[in-house]
Amino acid sequence: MSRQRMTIFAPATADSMSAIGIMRLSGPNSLDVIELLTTKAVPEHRYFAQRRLRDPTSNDVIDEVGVFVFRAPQSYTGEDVVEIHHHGSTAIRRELMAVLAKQSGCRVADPGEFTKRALLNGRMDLLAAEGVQALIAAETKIQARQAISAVSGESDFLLRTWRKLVLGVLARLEAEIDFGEDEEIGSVVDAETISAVDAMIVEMRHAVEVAPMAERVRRGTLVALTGPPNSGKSSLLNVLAKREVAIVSGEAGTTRDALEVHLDLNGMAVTLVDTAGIREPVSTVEKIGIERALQIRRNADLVLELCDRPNALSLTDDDRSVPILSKADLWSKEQRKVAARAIPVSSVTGEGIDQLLAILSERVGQGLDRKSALSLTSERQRETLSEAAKLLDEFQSDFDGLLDIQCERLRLAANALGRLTGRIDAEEILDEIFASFCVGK
Amino acid sequence: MKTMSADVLVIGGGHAGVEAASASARIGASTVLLTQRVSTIGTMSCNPAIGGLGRGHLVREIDALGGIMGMAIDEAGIQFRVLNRRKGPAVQGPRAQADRALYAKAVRQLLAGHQRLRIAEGEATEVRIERGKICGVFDDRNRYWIAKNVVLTTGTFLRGMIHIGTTSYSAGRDGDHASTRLARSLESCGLRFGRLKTGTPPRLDGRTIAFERLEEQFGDAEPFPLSFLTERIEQAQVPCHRTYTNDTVHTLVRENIHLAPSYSGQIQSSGVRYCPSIEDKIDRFPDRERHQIFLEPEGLRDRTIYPNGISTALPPPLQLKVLREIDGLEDVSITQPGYAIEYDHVDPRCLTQTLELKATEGLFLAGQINGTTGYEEAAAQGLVAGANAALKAKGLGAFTLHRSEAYIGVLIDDLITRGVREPYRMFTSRAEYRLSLRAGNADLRLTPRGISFGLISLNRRRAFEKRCGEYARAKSILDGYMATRAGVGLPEKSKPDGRSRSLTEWLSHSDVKIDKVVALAPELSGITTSIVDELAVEASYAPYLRQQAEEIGSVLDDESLKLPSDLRWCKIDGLSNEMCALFTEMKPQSLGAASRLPGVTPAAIALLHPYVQRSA
Repeated sequence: MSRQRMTIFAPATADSMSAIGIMRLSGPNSLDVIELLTTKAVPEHRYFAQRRLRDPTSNDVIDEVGVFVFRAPQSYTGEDVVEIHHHGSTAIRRELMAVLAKQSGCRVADPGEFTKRALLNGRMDLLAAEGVQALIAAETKIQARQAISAVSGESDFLLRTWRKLVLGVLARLEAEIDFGEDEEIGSVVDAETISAVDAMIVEMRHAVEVAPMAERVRRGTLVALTGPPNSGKSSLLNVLAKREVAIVSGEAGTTRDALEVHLDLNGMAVTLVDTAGIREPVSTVEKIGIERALQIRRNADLVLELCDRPNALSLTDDDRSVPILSKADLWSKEQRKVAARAIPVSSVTGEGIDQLLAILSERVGQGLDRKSALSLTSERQRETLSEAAKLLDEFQSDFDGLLDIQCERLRLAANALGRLTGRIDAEEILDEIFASFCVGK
Repeated sequence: MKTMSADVLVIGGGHAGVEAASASARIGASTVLLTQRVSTIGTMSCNPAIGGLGRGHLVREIDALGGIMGMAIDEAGIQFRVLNRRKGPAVQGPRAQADRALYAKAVRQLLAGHQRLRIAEGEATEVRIERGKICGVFDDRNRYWIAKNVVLTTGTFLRGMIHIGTTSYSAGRDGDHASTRLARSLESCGLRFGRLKTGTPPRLDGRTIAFERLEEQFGDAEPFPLSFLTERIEQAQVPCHRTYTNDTVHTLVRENIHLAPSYSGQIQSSGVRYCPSIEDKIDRFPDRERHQIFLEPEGLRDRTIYPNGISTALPPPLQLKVLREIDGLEDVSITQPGYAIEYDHVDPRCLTQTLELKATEGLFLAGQINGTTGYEEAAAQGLVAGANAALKAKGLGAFTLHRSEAYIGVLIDDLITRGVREPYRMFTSRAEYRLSLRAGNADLRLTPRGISFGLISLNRRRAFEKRCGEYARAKSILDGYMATRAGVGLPEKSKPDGRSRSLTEWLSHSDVKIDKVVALAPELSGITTSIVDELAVEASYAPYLRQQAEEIGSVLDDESLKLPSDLRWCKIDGLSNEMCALFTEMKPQSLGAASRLPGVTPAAIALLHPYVQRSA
């Protein structure tokens, strides 16, 4: 049997102690397997039943479980899906997986395979699938909320609504073209529709504009720590990493750099990256480090610029920059006045750390409240939508233009919106025409 | 039994049949056209007009491929009008009212000019198919026609059933009998049929109409011919008249709608949504206060009037009562009542791009049998089916047109990938690349293709080459003439722009008037107007045409990704059962064709990618 046709299973809950754990099965054998393991009839579609689960070879009881059944195609994957709700111990989970792996046609699922099957079986469009991917990867609450809005179809709904509006206008123009000579169609597009299109263009532009913010929510805010060598960057990083308000997430030390820390600041993901001190390089190795530091600085959403001497503080006009006077404990009030715009911080006494975190949290959060009901999670989506907005704008500003050109603009705009969800087709336009017009020979 | 033979046998002498026979004979196959009555060849069974929106494009394309419809209507046309004049050049559709008798005569004359064509009278009664191949056809005169390639164009004759009011009887068309034996024979070969309905209005006696009280509608002062070969329209031009239904008419129809066969339950099949009967119009759009009726003359010497827009199958006495409530028709008399007709059609999804049956080699279907409505749709299919039957007989490669090349391509692709739920009619909105597919450039698009398949006569070829030469000359004039902003009559901007641009470049500015630009180059006056117009349109659409060309390019890429014909769809990993069933039934020949199937998912297309055969 091919891998793709096998029944797959995987724990749907995290691998740790908990009251309940869920094991999910999807595929043609899932109903047979559950019948074999429980020796009882499979519950009805969307029904939950209590069952005793045994290892069919030894007949040993594994657990008292709840069994939840979704029959194809009305399930997440579009296949027969069974959820086994078991007691949340690691031992039970392991035993259950071992037993399932021995059943014919069953194997452990690949990462994301349930969603992949849902996509292949047409249970989900691409936009939603991308959303699920983001949801699984979501580390913080805001990320999760954003991802959910894509999955739950809010974005999809909005795109469909827009596309319907465009198709509606297109249908009216097409009716005028294909039937206007035979039947009296009446005014082509009314004022209300025109202003609805205007409002739609504004919404589209807004969605495109705030998409980078949404992108930042999704991947987390990148904060670079920069400054000359020995200006206290690493010490500050360590202090920040240990603060209770800034919970260090378990993801530290991913491939980007050894010197990075993941924080959760009021629900917003922040990646803090230490960089090499910037100065005239003395060795090749140092040169590479400095180049990398400069690159990180360029890509950062915020830059904490450290300086350990008040009179050496140089102010840049980069609005991403947060100037910090480090080793503040070494300087008197008088001396600090020179660098009044910098936040005095001491990793030794802890001075200024709270203030820094507050400022960081505020800056990270900036602009994130600019939301759009439409969340675009890739550059492809962003480009496609701004293309549609441009075409609609041309349409609106050339209202007395030739109908065939006007229709082409709408067709291309609807196509662009369609690429984000589905496809456009001529029959659809004709259906739209006949839903609302009397058309005759 | 007498045995006869031909390379290609065309059954049916309607608009599909004559184009099929002509195309086959032009290519040089020995061709026989078998029809119930030779005297009805070229008959216009419904309205006396050719062309219109989308349909005018089809006629120009048929003409560009050497077909006969355009030349016949130019000879028989008594009112020429380009529809959608103000709505953009791409959606303008040339149309002409025909003198019915002159049209049929012109068709017969054009057919008579084909040396390889023989016309025979007789009704085909049975097809003989052996091992999935057609071998020949029996007729009702005890003859057996041996032919390896047969084009079937049965129109509404297959089990035709006419309904008027509460009565119904078997007929192929008013005055002709239905082909019931042929339908049975085809059925026994495994062909499956659906049922469709169409209708026609009553014909009126023009001498009983008060035209003087009605609004006149004239054709264009300068007739736009349907054929590229026509230089001048010779027939006298006459007006049509316009009148409207009213409240009394609507009430009368509404009160008696139970007597109409579609409402009494007598007719179950679906009709043409795009040309509804008056019963349908009043039932479905109760808010409309009136509907237009065009009173179209059927001929210069014929007093019959065709009331376009009031197709009905109510009982004849009621038809008269309804008509007499209409302005100008108070004393009208009916010469032939309107009726509805139900007939058999084949699900066109069982056809290939050449209109050959997938299951029966050598058997081609064209026209209403494939679920279409309209003379032009029928003729377009006839041309493609006839050409391919002949090419096959001669062992030559197939002639197919893509959606991006022609309305004919759109028509056939829609039929074979989507099938029909109601009689299919062409519209400009069906052609996604319609900015490139204009009535004006049909010759540039298609005549070279026609030449390479042997469809074009030497005469037409010379005329085409001459036109091409004129195009080139006009183009170099437009490219060579320079003008400033002020020169082309545009108001100066706040910052004066003294730059000179070529006239071609200026034409792509949306606010430039085409006539103004053309007037700047006096040499253009020596060139045929239609050619200058066409170039101007081309230049003014340039930005959109470029974008479309890109889109077409990527679509054609998908088209060139061929899928093996013996692909075992159900073995494809991850393909859902539904997609598997769809592909197994439709056997798409390329990734492009697969992606146009209704209901297909992007995921399924992604899964097909690995099976693509890279063509050499």
